[in-house]
Amino acid sequence: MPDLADILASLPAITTFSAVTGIFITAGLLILLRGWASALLALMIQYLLLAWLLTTVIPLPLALIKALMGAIACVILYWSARRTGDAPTSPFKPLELDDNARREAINAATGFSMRMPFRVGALLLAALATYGLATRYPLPEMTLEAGLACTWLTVVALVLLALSESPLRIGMALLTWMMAFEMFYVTWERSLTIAGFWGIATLFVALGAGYLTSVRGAPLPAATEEEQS
Amino acid sequence: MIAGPWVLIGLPLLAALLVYLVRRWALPGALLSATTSVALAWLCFTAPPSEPLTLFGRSIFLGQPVAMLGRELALTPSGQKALGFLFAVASVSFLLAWPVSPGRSFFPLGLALLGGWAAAILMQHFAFAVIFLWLASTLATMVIQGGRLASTRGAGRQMIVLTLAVPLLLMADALIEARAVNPYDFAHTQPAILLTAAGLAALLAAFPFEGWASALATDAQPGVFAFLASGYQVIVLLIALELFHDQPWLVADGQILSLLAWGGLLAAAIGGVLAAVQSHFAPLMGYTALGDMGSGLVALALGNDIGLTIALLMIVARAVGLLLAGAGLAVMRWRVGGTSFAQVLGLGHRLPLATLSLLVGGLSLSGFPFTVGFAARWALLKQMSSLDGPWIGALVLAGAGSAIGWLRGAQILFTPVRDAPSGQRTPLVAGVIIVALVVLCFWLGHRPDWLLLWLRPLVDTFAPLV
Repeated sequence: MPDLADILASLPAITTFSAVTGIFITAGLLILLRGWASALLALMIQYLLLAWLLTTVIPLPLALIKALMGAIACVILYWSARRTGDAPTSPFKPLELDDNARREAINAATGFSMRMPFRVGALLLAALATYGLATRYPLPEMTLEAGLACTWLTVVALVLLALSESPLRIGMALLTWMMAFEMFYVTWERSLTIAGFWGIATLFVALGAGYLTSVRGAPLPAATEEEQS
Repeated sequence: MIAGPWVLIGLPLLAALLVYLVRRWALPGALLSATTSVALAWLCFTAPPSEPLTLFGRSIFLGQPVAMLGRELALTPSGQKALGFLFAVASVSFLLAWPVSPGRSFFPLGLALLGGWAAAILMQHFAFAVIFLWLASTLATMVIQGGRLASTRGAGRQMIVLTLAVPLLLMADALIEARAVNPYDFAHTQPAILLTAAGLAALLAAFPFEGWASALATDAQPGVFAFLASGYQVIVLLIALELFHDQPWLVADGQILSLLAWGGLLAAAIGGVLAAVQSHFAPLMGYTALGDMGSGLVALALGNDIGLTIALLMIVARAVGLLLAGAGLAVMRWRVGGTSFAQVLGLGHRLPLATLSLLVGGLSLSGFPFTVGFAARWALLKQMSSLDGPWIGALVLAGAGSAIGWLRGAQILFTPVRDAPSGQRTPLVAGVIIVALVVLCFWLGHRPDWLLLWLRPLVDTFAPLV
């Protein structure tokens, strides 16, 4: 009976180049996609592609565990967002100093940061920045493709952080940042303990972002709604 | 015999489980949390690290190292002081949270956070220490938000900064280890220095990473901000000092210290300017704390024993100031439902103790004379007066701007109004703690030498940095 490595080896040729291309597309979609569910799907595919890329550096079981951790993180975010959605327009209780919450709601209502031309522009700028950085400062101990993908993920994560107000998107940005780092870091540090803690940290970040997503979108208690009306 | 690290990490975690079971009742939660913290603080302050101690028939050896996942957890003398300080700050925070609760989750999660922080301090390996700090601080997201259906910006920014900074420090650690393997390969020296500087700048709220401090103060409950901002800086500074001590080449050329100095100076100036124009007490506290943190970084970057003494003195003074201001602000927020100048107008006559606490704490954070915050600020200004450039101006701006903000706040609090908010009295427990903290603030302001003596071993261990 063939083992997992044989099955993976017999898959249609997913070369490093195609995995890197996939990462470019999925990370770009994170900037472009407005729907949270499709963005999460892109993030999950990105984790699978990253795991594929990492198999060239680390053992296959470890890469699969990393993919599994990423998938669990995506599921955590999905569950949080499914309850509340990604909409920052949820009715915040005007507790106090809620200028931040109001501003977030106004941003969402005007849709400024959501407009597609703005996002396309951000994507183009990110691509230019990636090209400039990757050609001028090539990452040591990495192939050109892997270095380019790593830089692209870093830039996309920072762009997402700059564009996002919702905890869900911030969570996706942070997970992307962690993926970029992981790509680079595994060539330097292959300790299993560090890899284990890294997986725990991935889950913790997803839990933190998921918790904030739940809190942010939670419906108001009935009494408060009556008070508001 | 029980090894110290298990007690210092395990006891808060065990207590967190118990407190979680009684989370619906503030009194048992507060008492259990505070008792655990006080006991651990007492243990750290009094127990000798080099010989066993018998407690309840069990022998505890604080200084005995243990191995976890192949890495050593050990209590160093500096770690013992830092942990004692952390547990002491936590116990005051837990007691204050009894009458003015920042949410049910504060006690169990606060204890779990303490366990994580203790693990970060005890861990002798730099990479694992920052990972423990990261994991604990992700937990802090829930402490900060406290289940409130309000803005998530403060909690989110705290998580962002940690998640951005820790990978940089892990990468720096990998490069440092690569250099240790091959000491004559200098290719990784500069990247390691830059990554360390960027990671530490983010964690220590230096410019341009200073935004999380004010966001945290605005969104978190005042007591929670005081607890987190006081504790968190201690751990980061200790981890940084131990790294510099173990790898002196990192700071030998002065790049990291120079970057931290400029980042700190700009953060201090930003904090001072923005504090002066605030119209809410919560962000005023945040920007004042930011100004103080920035000044502390400038002091640290001096790199000599005087600079390190000032930086450590500032950390203790900041904790006292933040706890005082946080206590006063928490009482006001609880009584009138807000902390904006409009909401607390004329409240000074109705809540005199809370007002005293808030103003003394705020002015101490600004480095006002006669308070605990003054000695370190004055010493820093004296140190910087001989230097050319914007140093002295920016530091004066930081202190003066913050003081102006608090004096504006005082004017608001004591403005006579007919329909002032009908606040009740300050709760008894909060009142007692406030009085004790006010006395401590002025006493340490009068006798900073007592603090200097206590901090001396720490300075001797780590100074000079360069």
